[in-house]
Amino acid sequence: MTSQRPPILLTARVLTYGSIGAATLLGVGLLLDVAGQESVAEMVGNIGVVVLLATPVTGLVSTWSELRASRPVHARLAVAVLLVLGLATLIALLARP
Amino acid sequence: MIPLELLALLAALGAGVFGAVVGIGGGIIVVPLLAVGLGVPLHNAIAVSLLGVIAVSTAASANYLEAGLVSRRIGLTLLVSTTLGGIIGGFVAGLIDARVLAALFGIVLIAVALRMFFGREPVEPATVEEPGPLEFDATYIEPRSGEEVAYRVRNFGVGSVVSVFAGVLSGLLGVGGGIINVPTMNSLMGVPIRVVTTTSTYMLGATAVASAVLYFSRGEVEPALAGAVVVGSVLGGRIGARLQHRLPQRALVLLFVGVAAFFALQMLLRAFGSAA
Repeated sequence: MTSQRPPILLTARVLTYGSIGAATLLGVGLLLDVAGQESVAEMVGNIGVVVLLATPVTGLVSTWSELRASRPVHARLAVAVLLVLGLATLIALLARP
Repeated sequence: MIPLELLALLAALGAGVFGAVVGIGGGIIVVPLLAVGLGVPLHNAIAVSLLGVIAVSTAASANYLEAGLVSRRIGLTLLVSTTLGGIIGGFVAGLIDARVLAALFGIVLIAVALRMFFGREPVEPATVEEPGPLEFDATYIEPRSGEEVAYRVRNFGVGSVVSVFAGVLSGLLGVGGGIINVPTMNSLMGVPIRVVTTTSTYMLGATAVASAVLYFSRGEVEPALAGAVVVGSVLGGRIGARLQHRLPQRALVLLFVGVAAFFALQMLLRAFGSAA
């Protein structure tokens, strides 16, 4: 069974490193904020938020990359989700106060 | 005096442990803890809760994917619906008053508490005959026994429609869509509970991104508070997952019902009382 499983390693690594990286940046931002370094803390924290938001998106890109040959339907579904998330980003940019 | 962010970290840690142990995720607890307990504006509490949902989902999904427990066919199909719902929920949340959100949150808390209290046994279906046009057969390897388990996914169209509401709820209240996704996939679509919980976790991250970008663009994400909730939720989720099989489940569910009833009352008082 294991040999029939579609490739998974790239997506798993992207999600692992992305979540660790984002949590680290947000944690450092929190520590800087508690230490009174508000402006640096806000910058580091915002980068952490962006990395966190980008992690599932990058995971979907890697899913598409891993599955486009062996599971084309799955790969197309990943693209469809990416398009919806692109729409969300567009709405977010247009609706900015 | 203890800074708000450290109190938020402890709140998210506790919510993460509790949410993982009772199997509902931390969002439904962390939002009222922040809003009612710490006085964080409701929109900000929902925004940082969504970030906590993303962090917990992405960290856990990597393990579930490697273990072969996620059905990416089901997850990616339903994600199209839940992310659309997430946009709607995130957009509408920006238009409505915090009192309305508080009322909705109170009602959802009561519904979840009742469902937990009167919880049914999960469905474990068997495959028979040939699959229909909107059905397909799939398998997974049960980690405890190492056996291959076959199952049939059905009602895919209805499941996709219901999943839109899971996304709306996630985006509107920051609770993750698991409270709708799990019963939909298990009871309606016939997916075994082992695959349901892992696939739902896999879906929560991208679903929350669809609405979190809207909260972020409106300036409702406070980075230090987000750091506290993300770090607390991830650590709490890991601790909760380790404790899950050692603690008395029924007693914890009853404790959750009590806590949820308290927060539901607080949210409804906030919505209909004078302390909005």
